[in-house]
Amino acid sequence: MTDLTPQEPPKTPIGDFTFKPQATGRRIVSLWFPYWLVQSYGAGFDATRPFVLVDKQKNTQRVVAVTPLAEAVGLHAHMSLADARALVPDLQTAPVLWPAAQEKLEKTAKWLQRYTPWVGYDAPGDSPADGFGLLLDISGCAHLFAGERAMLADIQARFQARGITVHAAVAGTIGAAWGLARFRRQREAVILPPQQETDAMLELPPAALRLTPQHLDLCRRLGLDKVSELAKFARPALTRRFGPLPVMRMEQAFGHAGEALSPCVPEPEFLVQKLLPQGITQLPALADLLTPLCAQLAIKLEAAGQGAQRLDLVLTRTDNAVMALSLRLAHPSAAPSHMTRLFADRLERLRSGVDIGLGVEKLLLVASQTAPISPPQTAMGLQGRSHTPPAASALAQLIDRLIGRLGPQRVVRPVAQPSYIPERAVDFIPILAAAEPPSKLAFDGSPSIHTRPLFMLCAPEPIEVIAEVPEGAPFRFRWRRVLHEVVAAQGPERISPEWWQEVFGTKSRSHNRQTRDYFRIEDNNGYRFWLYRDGLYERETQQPKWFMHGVFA
Amino acid sequence: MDDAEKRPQINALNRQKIVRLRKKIERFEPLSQSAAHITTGFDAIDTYLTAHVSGGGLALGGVHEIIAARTGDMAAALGFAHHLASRFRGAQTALLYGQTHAGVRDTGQPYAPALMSRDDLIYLDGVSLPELMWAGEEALSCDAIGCIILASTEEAPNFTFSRRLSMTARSVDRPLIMALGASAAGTASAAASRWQVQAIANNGWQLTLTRLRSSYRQTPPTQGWQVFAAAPQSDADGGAKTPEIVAEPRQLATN
Repeated sequence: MTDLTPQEPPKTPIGDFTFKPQATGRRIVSLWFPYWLVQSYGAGFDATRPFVLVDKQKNTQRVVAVTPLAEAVGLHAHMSLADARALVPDLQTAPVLWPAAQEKLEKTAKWLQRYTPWVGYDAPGDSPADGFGLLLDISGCAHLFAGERAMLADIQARFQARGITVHAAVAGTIGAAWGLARFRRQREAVILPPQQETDAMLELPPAALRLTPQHLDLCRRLGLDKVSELAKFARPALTRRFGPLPVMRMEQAFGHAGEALSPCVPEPEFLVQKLLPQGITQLPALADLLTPLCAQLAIKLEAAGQGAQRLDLVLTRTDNAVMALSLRLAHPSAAPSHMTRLFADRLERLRSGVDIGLGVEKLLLVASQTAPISPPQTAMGLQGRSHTPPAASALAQLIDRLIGRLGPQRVVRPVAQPSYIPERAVDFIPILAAAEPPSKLAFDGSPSIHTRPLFMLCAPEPIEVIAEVPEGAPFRFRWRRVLHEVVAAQGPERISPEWWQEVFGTKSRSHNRQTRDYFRIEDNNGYRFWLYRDGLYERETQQPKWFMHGVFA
Repeated sequence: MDDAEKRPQINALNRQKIVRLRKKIERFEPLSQSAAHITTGFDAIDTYLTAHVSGGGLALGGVHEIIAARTGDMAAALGFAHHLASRFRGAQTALLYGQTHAGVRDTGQPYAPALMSRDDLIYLDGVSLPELMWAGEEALSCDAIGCIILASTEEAPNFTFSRRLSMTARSVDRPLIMALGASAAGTASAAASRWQVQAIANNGWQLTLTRLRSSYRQTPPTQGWQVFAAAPQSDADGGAKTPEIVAEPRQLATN
């Protein structure tokens, strides 16, 4: 066992700890959730009866967490399930879910960042079964919430509203806050004025020092039931007996030794930037600068196993004007060459329209939206020919490039719509908006598969029918100023308006009020058309109009 | 057509020279990487292609131009283009289909269920011709694309574009089909084949092969076929028995 603290000769009979108040300048909040496991478990049990969570430990079912109600009838953690059932025969039990509890704690930690950016977990090694805890460094933050008392009251009230028991303490050191939250059992938050950590801690039991069960066992056997009794020993004596931990913990709690609060890992930020010594006015030069920038970003993304879904490039001009370019990717990607290429395309498009002024002096590239991607598969097996061809990502990259140059509204794919009105049966949706490639369109198996034209006009065009029989196809008609003689006709295929639109008042287009009779027409030139008569003769209208709606190949 | 008209003016000496030059070009610029060829699905046309093309069919790596014979034949030309595309592309590949503004105005947007029921269609909705050419070149270099159809009604790409696309198509062994309006008939191009399509009565197409590269001999004489859809349209008996346009033809007549 090695001593962490330098050996010093004992000076005073009360050990060699200096009890001078120590100004740390920090304010730490410790939050302790004694019933975290059960209270974060959810509502899957009857709250009016005792409930415990059990875990299988060393071949026995052990109680690991109890509700306050169960605690009141004498149940406690670490007892075996059999003992617990002996006490309470109709005990409600459930297996403990450590990952879920941990996940909820992480979420809570993130939420607590509304009070301070510096939120951390209790140091590992503190037994989780004794409840879960979080630490907040609120130095310089409390005044934003009208002081420490108001801030802690707010925190406690919010947890209480969620039905979560929380004990809170504020002190100048992590150790003191931790100990006070757990061992100064009181409903309100403990707010320790600065520089009183030592006095407060001396009153607490040794467990308040964040010691291991072995240490505490030894303390009990030696009859040490207060920190002050422990502190009476000289450091070398303590260290010989207990090892370095109690000394270290005491120094930390009293504020003589520093202790860092390691914040829970914040969301990784995928951001790279480049400051230029002087403004760049040439767009091609900018494109060149993007290559290393994209490579840097790609390294960050790859390290986090993420692919960029949205990239923002922010260019700051020398006169501090800011321009932003943003790109959406069809498929999350961390390929630097792909990103560079997309930006190069965009910059090329911008060449005429962008006002670069006196030059760009700062480039900032952010992957503002990311999604996990599987790590790139290195070629295995056949040389240069992997077993799963990267066709999907190749297509996604092509789509990205097309969108980058043509704009998202131009790159579309057909998506079937729940309508049998021909112009509404299919909609072209921008590929980025259509998240998943549509499965088979509804056309399959429908009887109309052969009766639909290869092309449908964007809007039905009125045609001038020169001769017709009242219920049949036209003999002769004029479309786009060309006269067509009909030699063959097929039809009608009757398509009624969607009556429910009428009923529910959701009708939008005026020309869809009437029943349509569609005809396939072939004219004397061999051209084939799809046209319809709008409205049933003498039932819906006296003068039915004719419309051209599509052309067959 | 224009080729056929000019041909008699070329004398025998020049013809030999041309043949020699063509052979030379073929040596340092092979016509296709893999020389993979695809049949058209029309027996008479395939027989003809087998007789005239070293691979026996249309080159997979190449640009094929399909030109509307008349202004109104654009739909028929695109119909044939989609038929060829369905022959060209494999099961796992996507179809990129781009149309210019004028094309959308003229024939409208694709609608046929036969085409749309493929879930791997990427449609470029109304772009300019240079953008269309750019998209075609980008798509050619993408492994996930099986075939590309570019439709431009009003103007044809110039020879530089056409050559550029041809070279790319050849190097990646991927087909690109250009569907062009009637005005493109006389333009120069580097396409591997050029077809003229005219809609004819009884649900048919008049297909004319006006240009064919990669032939054993020189450019073969213009050849035409009539192709009809599975069942003639004339019997007006309701929707059930109507033919599918992009389907195999039942009969084929050589004229």
